[in-house]
Amino acid sequence: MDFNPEKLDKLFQQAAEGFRPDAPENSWLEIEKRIQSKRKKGIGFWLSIASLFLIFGGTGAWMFLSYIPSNKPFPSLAVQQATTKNGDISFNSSKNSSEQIAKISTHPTKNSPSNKVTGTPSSTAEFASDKEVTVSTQSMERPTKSSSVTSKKKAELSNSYSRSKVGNLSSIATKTSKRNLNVRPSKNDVSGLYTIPKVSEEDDIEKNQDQVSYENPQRNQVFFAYLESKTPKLAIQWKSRPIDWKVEDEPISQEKPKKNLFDQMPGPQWCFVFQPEYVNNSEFLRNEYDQIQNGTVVSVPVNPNFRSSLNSLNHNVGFSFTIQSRFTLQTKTGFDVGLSYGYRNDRQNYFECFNPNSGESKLYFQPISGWNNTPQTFLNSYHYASMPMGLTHALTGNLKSTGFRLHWNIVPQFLVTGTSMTFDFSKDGFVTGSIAKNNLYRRAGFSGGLGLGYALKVSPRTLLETGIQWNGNWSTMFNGYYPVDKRFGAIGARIGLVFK
Amino acid sequence: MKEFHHLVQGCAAGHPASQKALYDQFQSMVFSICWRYTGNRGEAEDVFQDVFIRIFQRIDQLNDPAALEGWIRRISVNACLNAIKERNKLRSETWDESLEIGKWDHSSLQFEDLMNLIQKLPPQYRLVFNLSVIEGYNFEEISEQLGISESTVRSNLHRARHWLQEKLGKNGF
Repeated sequence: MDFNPEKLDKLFQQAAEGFRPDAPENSWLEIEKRIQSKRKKGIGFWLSIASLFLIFGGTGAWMFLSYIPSNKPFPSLAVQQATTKNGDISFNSSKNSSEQIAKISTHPTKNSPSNKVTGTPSSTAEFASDKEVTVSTQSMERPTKSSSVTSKKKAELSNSYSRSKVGNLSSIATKTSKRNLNVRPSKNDVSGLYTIPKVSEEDDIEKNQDQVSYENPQRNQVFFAYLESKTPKLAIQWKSRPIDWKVEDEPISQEKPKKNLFDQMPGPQWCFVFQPEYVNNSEFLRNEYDQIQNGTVVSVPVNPNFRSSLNSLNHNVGFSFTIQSRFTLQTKTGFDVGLSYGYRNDRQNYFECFNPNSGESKLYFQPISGWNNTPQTFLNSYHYASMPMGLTHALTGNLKSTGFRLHWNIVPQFLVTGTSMTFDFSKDGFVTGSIAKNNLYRRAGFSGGLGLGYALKVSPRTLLETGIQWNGNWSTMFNGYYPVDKRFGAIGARIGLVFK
Repeated sequence: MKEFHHLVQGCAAGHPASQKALYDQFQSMVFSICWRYTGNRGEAEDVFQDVFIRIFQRIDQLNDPAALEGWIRRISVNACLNAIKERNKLRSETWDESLEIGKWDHSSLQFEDLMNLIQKLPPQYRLVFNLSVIEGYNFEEISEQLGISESTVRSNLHRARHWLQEKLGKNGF
């Protein structure tokens, strides 16, 4: 039997052309279903993205809106000065919203006929006697935000004081002619009442029972004050000295304001940093080499697919995950130190540089793995550990810790492991390789960063930090010729959570 | 060609009618390729669906509608090769020599019989024969696609031809 390949091939080619079996009948229905399901997935994807935006946007808006009114100063409850005339007390109310201080001053006359004063139970009662002097003040409810309401409250308060008879009450016994009793909020919370610790007058004569106490159930809802004295001397002094005492209004129901902003307080901080990288090896090469060779060098990309233009650059991605602690340096400045794991994926193109003067032609870039005389492109991916250290400064901020943040950091980096894929031009693809220990000139390097972010308080103990971060790798991790990030560094988005 | 142009545009826009028209136009060709490469109808049906899904997903990347048929053929072949690679990862393909075809009357030799004969080829021969003889790939392309050397491609093709010749000869061809 003769073997005729051409005839055989032709026979089978004809058979293949002529053989047209029909697909199963239900195939189209299956395909249609799958197409529709993929379409639905696409819609779902965008819906989920939109939902995320809504969630974050809504949360942000809610936080923002809830932040605004609480930051408004309290309308004035303050009665800064009160004067008495012939036993009556009249008040001049003034708004002291910035300090949110209620300040009540009494200036009784010297010739008060009586040392015991009774007032209406709901308003003011001031008692003074040789044995016991009590000033009891029951104020109105805390003024609302409405100024008209505030004025009304002030008027009521003023009237109630006016109606009361001060009698012999004159002053609190101090050596100074004017006393300010700053009553700060107490952490003692008894059955919902904030009890102000009794303030004793140490400069009083006998350091005994002379005291001022407050009870403030709920936040300035009802206001009590007692001045008590069991010493005759004190009572005498009260007769001749005005009482001028202040009550800080704002922090009654809050803890004492902290020295530092929330996110500046010491404590662990977890940050996740994602940073896409943009690398321009070719421009770096050309400029550097031209400088060296006085512009006589022609640099040619090894592969025309990798042109030396920004548009041809591959967006090399990387990310790092950092756990760090923050320590307070100043009110708005903290020092961060932590540990970080990172991953990067860098494409490094090799260029053949020809020097017409010397006739020398060589590859300029040194890869992570290997120094090769043949034109190559490397796709290096590596895992690294780093120890970021830096400063965080609050550009704006308040007690809620919401505001802009500025970050500086310096980051020692250490290569953990990595792979280097070599581009095989004959196959038009990358061939997997590995970074051998001997290929490394340097295993560690430094990076520095600068970032601008925005901090948002999401819960009493949690802060969300977002922003952008620029990291410049001026130094030379891995080896001395490593060009990545020389110019642009890594630009990335920074998002982190701060837990206190 | 103008018909293809509209067909491609319609499919790229996601019109179901255009997709159905394209399916009707090329389903037999695609199924033939799938069957020829995979060697069994069940697997061919699976790959067949994947091929059309890929076609509809990527048709917007087709620049020249005139090359639609070749483009579909190429997608089909690649999908089949991928399916075979996946299958080979899971299990080594066995070839049963005992699956001999019976004698037939070559005067009434049908295309289907010849295609069945191709499917009886040992897997490594079948792939090379399909790619080289039916699809017209050169040795270099085949070696890249299958990840084997060109000399192996040559020898496999030679053996495939001899095998087919032998089977045909037994049937008096």
